[in-house]
Amino acid sequence: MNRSLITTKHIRPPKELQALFDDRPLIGRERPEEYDAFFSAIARAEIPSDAIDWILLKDLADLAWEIRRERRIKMEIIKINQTEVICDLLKSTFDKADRLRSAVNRIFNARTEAHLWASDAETRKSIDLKLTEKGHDPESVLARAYVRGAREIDAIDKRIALYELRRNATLKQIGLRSERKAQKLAKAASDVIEGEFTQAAE
Amino acid sequence: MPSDRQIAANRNNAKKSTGPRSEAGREASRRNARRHGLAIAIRTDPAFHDDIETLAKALSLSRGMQNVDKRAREAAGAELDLLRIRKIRAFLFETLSPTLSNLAEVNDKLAKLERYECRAFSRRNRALREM
Repeated sequence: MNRSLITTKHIRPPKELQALFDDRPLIGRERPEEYDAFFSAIARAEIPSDAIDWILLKDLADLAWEIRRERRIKMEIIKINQTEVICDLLKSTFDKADRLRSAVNRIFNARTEAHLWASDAETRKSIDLKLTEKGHDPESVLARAYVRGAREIDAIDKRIALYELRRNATLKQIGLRSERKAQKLAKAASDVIEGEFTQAAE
Repeated sequence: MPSDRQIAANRNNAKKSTGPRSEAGREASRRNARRHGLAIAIRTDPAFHDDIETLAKALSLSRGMQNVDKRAREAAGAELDLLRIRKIRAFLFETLSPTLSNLAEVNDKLAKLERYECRAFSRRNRALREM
């Protein structure tokens, strides 16, 4: 079950720790209120009782946040590579009737069609069908996209694995203080990682 | 494995080296350890002194200690280091904007940052356990 990020009240740290929490490690379109909702969704599972609890909780939330960020970037990389693969296939795969079109025209159209494939569900369906007939089903397109972005995807996967290791180490550290707390926070963190970001943003 | 003779030759050659001689060379080598500042312990930077003390005090109180000891300062310093590294990571993402064209460069820089985070993380957890 995904944990809702829509919150009525954000959980704030005590005054003496506020400075640590003011400086959020955000990028691009990530918004402070989005991060605060994310943090509160985890914190609500077990309200920290002292400074050690607070910094371990922040660690957990930051790592969960970064895991989601990396997953998003990975998804974008796969999408971009899928579009490139579609574009290449559209350039090289054509019907008999297409032979009449000039090569330049076909190449130009391939890029436009590939972008439409990425943004429009109907176009995607018809292009997928057309390419499947030529022996390039969506699974093989996805596989090619993975191969194409393998280096970048591998680097992201390595970072995600490291963040997950660190998240587990933090949970272990929390578990040394209270096993029950660690279990509740572990569940809350994985719920928000899987949850919908956009809930808080809308 | 180098032989004893090679090791002796290397040592002799090293003795002949006097380091950079020109003013520009000396100036550059003076900054060798300060490319991004992460190799330098945050506790030695006066700018972080008050933040470390405040956090160390709060951590000590969590353990029911009235006095701030070395381990609390170590944990506080490592925690601030961790936050600083995460800010730098966000800055790298932000400034290099990971598009397909320069993703390799971003990945390379992030991998270099990783070892500093790994160290700070271990240091922080060890200090907290020992507190």
